[in-house]
Amino acid sequence: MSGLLQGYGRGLTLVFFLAAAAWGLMLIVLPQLTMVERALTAPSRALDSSVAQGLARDARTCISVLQTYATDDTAAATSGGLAVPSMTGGAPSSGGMAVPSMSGDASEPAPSGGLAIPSMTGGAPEPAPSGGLAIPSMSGGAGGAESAAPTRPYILQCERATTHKPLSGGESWLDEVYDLPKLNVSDTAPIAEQIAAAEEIETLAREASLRIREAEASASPYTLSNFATLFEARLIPQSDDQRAIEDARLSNRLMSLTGLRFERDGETYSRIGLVTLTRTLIQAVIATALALLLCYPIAYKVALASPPRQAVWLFLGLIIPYAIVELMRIYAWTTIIDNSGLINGLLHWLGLIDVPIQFKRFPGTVFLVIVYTYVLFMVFPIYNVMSTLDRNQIEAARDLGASPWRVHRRIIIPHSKPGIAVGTIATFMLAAGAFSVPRIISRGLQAEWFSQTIYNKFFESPNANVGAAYSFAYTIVCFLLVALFMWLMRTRLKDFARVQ
Amino acid sequence: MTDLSHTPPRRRRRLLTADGLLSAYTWAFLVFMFLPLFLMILSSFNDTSPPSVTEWQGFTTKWYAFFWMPEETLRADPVLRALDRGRFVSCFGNSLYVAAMVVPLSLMLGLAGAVLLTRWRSRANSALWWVLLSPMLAPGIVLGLSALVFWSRMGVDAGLFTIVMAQTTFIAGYPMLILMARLQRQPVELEEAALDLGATPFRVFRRLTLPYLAPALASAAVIALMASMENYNTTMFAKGGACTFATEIGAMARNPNGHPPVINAVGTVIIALTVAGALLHTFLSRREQGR
Repeated sequence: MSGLLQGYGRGLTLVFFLAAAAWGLMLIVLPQLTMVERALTAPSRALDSSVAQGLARDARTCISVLQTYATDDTAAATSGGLAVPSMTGGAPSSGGMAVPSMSGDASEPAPSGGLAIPSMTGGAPEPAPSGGLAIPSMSGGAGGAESAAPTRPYILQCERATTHKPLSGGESWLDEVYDLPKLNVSDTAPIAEQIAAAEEIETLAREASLRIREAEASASPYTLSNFATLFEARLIPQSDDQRAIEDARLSNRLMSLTGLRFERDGETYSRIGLVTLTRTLIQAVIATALALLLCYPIAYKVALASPPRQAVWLFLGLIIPYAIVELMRIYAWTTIIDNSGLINGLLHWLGLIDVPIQFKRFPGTVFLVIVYTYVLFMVFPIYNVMSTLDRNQIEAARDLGASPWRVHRRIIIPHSKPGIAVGTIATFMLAAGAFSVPRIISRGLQAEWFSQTIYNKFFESPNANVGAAYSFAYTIVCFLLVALFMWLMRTRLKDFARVQ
Repeated sequence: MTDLSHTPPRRRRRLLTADGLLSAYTWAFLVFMFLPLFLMILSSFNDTSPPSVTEWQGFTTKWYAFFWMPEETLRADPVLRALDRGRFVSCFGNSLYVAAMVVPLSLMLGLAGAVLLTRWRSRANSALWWVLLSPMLAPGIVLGLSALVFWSRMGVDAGLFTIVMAQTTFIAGYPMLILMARLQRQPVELEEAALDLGATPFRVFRRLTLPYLAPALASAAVIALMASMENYNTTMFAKGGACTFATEIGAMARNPNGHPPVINAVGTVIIALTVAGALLHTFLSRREQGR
């Protein structure tokens, strides 16, 4: 600290500390903590209090709809146009087209004559005198006068107004868990009784909702359920023939061994989230290993095995593709693998195929392009370290009779180990986090890369918090793998500064 | 192979074949690297859409002219009229805006980080190492997503601001590493002499340290600019409804029916710029070495 103060003065030192703190806190640490919080938060609509509240709301709507039947059940529909009854009711009785509203009290049925579409909520109590085309409703309750048993048409909210309501997850029930009487609005009882029942349900539900919400407010708002979805098993619907084919596959047998896939009651289940995670990590590891194999000779050639004049040009040949925008290098591959691309064009010209091969459906294509895109991130760290090796050492070893293999094993590889470690980590992280390559190359036509799963879970699933959980879990897994690798290779973080 | 000149003849022959293999392999690798790019350039001059190299329909430059052709010509073209030129240009403008924010921010943060990591002798130093380097080790998508979540919690909607924040998180690491390498080689004697002669520390920083760091700052700025312009993974997660050059190219390239070779034209221009820049850099550094 004193050195800093002496060298830079109080003002500058303060500025440096503030900047580093802003970077560390606002950009790195706090966002990750927010992610953890997001990942641990259950979505609010899954709370039991919201279920009770929804019940109270349904009962209220049910009551107001029922009241319209209690008061004017003699109103007859006259002819005139197109009635589109809706969730809300309140349809004006004018001619032409009636657009009902949300509350469901269609006191005066729309005069029909053109086209009558009885709604789910049953705003049209009596069948429209014809004149055009009548489409009977799903509930079939449109003819209240004719049919004997139900005293009212189907009303969605009244059907839903029962204390026997499933809680989130669908395995427990509101009345059982919170000790409520089991009530519902029977559609055969007289309307007045139905209203009374609905009112009772509403009061019960309102009280229960308040009570549960209090309990929920004092309870911990955090849950691990978002992380649990990563391990969730999904039923794979398939025919017996298909199952026999699938089971014979090596990858599926491996998955059965590790518990990623299992059979229960003659059905196959698969832990889809974990399967994607494992597949992505394995492919990333293989891609990294392949990149290392591909790059070591290149780095050796450029750094140690060519005269300086040639090395400059070789280096230029590596730096140019490295510097070109990543997306463009990925996009360039579509010219090769498309249905009308280079490979299909050549094969067609040779007369080998009639129908183009769908390369974008092959997982191998994404793998190949990932290797292509990120291979150079392996070359440069290795090259940078290797070029610091004194060539005289190699010469001395050769003079003393060491074989080329031995020179590599005893001199070059140990010297370039930090570069190899850093290159491996960089390539692995890029391959594991690859989003652009699978997105552009596969175009959604094959199994997801885990980064795509995170994207879909966060932006396209009903519960974004699951996406946060996936993302955080992925970060942890990747960091653990990297930490393990660094420990194995005895790499320190400071090597990153030396190598890049 | 001048450095092998005094190995015994028998071994030299064996090494030479090994060397020949290595050369052949290197060429193959370079072909692998350049072939897709070459095909992309080739199909950018082919008068057919989607881009193809196997069906040659004649030489054209209209995929380039798309960006400046008059509105009527654009409307008349059956392929190009489906594209939204205005949107493309505005996305490119967004990219420039983001880069204009990210580059100075990253340089500032990178400089602060580099100074602290090299000069601050403290136990917290290694923790600081981990914190500041972790974004470079994390998958880019995670950085984008966490910036989005954090700033929406702060009440900022996803957009260009979250893109800037997400990109700065990891791009600031590049200037930091580059500046650290140079700071470690800085001769302290000059600084000490200046301080002894009564210069204020700020003056020393402005007159000695900054000029010393200037070349490193310049190359760090170039690298940060390129990283910001080409970033796709992080931006996709942080962008909200906004678009940048990279996300727009990505959206175009994703078209399953193939996209007019306008992207190829853009790519060709990028390749030309990159090659020119790399050649210039090599030429300049060789001349510097020659002096």
